[in-house]
Amino acid sequence: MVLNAAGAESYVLCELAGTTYGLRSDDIEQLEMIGQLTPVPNAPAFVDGVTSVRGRVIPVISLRARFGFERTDHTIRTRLVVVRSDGRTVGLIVDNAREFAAIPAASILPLPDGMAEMSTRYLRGTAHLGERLVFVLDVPELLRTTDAPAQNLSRFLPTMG
Amino acid sequence: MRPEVTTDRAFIDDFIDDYFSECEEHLATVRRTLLAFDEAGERPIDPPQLQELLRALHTLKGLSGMVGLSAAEEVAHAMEDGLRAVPESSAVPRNLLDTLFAGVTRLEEAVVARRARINPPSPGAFVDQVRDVIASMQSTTGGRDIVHVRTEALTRFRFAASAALLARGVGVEVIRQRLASIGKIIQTTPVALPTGSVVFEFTVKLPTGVEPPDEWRDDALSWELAEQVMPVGVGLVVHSNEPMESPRPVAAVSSNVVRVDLARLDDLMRMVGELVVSRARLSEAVRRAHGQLTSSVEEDLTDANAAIERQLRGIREGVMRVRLVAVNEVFERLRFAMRDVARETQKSIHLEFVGQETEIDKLVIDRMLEPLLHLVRNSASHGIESRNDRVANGKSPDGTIVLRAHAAGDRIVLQVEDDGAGIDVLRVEQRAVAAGLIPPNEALTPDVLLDVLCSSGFSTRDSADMTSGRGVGMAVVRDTIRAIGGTLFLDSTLGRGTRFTIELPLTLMITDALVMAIGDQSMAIPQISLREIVPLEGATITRVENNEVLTYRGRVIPLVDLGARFNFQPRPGAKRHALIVGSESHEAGLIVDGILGLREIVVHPVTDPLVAIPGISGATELADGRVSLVLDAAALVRVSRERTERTAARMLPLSREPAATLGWSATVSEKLWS
Repeated sequence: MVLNAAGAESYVLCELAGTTYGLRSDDIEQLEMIGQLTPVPNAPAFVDGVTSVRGRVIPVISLRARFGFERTDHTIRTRLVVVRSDGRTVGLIVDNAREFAAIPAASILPLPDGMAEMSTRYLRGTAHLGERLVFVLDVPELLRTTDAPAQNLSRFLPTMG
Repeated sequence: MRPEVTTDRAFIDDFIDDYFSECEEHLATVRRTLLAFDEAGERPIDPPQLQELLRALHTLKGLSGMVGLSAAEEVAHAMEDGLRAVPESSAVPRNLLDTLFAGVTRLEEAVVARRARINPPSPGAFVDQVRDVIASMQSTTGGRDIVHVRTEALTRFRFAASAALLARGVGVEVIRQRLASIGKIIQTTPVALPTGSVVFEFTVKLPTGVEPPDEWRDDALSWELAEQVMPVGVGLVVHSNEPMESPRPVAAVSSNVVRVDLARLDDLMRMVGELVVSRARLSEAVRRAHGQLTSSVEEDLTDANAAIERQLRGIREGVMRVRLVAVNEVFERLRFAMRDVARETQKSIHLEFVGQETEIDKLVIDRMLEPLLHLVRNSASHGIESRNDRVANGKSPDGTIVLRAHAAGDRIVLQVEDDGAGIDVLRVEQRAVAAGLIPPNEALTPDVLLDVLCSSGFSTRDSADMTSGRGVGMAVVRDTIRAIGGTLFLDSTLGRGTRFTIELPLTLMITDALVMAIGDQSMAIPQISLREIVPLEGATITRVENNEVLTYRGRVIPLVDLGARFNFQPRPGAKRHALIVGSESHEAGLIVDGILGLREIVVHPVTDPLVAIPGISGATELADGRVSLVLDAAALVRVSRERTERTAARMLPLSREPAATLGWSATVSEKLWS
């Protein structure tokens, strides 16, 4: 774990539709410019396809689509955050990823009651950095809960009479 | 962004990798020799075999001590003690043999725990068990006392042989006699030094008070107390204590074999893959430069490019060969596991190997151990009948399980076949209906049988037994096989036996592939899976229900329109072709919108659940840096077959007579359809 002297973990701050999310540096393998994406037929809707990152082919999730925002065109600030968990490597598209921050574990607060639903299991909580509110993401949980149900071949087939 | 790794840690990790690979080897020896003792039954132990086993255990003990894995160290030590307590020229008593078999499991557990960086199970209970067994042996047979050579004060002599010394008449034999004159030589080990020269190490038990004369040092002989000596030389040389009459040949220590961590080979393979992509780019640039360069420059470039291609092919084949190991390694482990299964099930089962020298990628075969183990256990507990039943059915009282391996094109085929009762399809059907897996009053078609067997929670046994567990296994078996791009098949004949067939990729692939346009995308298909390419312009295409079929050279071939299946945007003005894939009996035509050319591609497996889509076996990076998906012809043929069979099934309902001979190849259809 990357800890600073005060025992705070290091986070990468990403922005998505005007909201700031924090991803633990330990979960992140690298940050990349967005390359060519190849769509994968019949993959879940929030999967933008696969891309090649340093000799490996990895699936790419649009975090905007995943969190229910509208997809936007990629800009020079758009980043691919390559995360790693349970032996899987997955790319997450975010609007930008420009800052690092040390967030002490003790300053991460649980989510407000109204938000603590099933759909937000991948949010570990919130933290205040000065005036800014940061949603702290739980990357392993995010990847687990985005697992598509097993695909089946019947999706290839026209409806059988 | 990763935490800094200290050099110390990296050093230990390097060492640990060696430890794991050495352990694997020595455990294999232990398993093999124990099985030999088991088969020998009441016959006396074969001394060379006993020595081999003791040496392997001793080495395991030493290695485990070095990496601080005391649990394994103690277990190996206890096993050694047990073996040494066996009187000469007698068989290994049954209770000791059982304990030793259990010991192997303890050792495996300890190593696995170390790998996972968790605490290994305590060896205490096992050590006590061995002690009890030894005590029982000594009370009944008066076996010999256990000699703990290791705990006695020993002196280790080291002699550096050289031509100069030999010229003076000082050779290994002279030194050996010299040492034998003052004490008892426990062991002699030649050790290869990194410099290429050889040092002989003698472990000698000297009578108290005896000191070797100092002038011996002039003959390149040195000595010190054995317990303080660290092993030297290349790799991990470990000193064993059993007495040896003559020095072991040097070759046994400094062999030509180099152990390589699989991860490093993966890195190498990945780099070769990147090179292949770079070369493709170069090729593309040379082609584009045509006409813009002087002809001699262009010729040079083309020649160099062709040479690089040839050389790359050589490198790539070399790296792939390095990764291959004989299937035998895994088969032997299954033989070991079978012993317990046969005992638990009270059946007598022969395990036969066919094609065990077949070579397959190390990573692939390692992943296959658990599935194969499960299939073999299944055959033993569910497949093979009891002796009485077998005799009553006119079979030999002993069951047979055959493990087969052979290469077929770019795939490796593994089979587990038993001559047992076969699968009772009607019974499976009843249970599947009861469990709500298939709708009632619907025939259990061959296609669905394997699906039912592989659904988690399904078991035809009324009570789960220890050997095969609770029917979650088959689901895991199939998932594991799929995860590395393999396929599981089932054949069963009631009363005659069951055969599971696993088809696996030979290795991580670099292959020649046809790149084609499908809708607005380009995709690749390995050339090896192509049988023919048929232009569809002017071809005879007929519609049967929802299916299109192509009539071509007297054959009727079902068509799969890939663009439509994958929901790609149609390509205007496409020159449509059908790629004929599959086997002669089951072929299909994949409709594509254009042929872009033949390329050498690196196939990256696509296994992440997010993008693991049936019909797509992987992805590849083309010269323009864009990723293209690679089609899995076998899976697409299955789709087409299942459709055809379902159509046929509706027109011609399957007979529901008790299936006396059900000889079919049930394929993995992806999901139970309801």
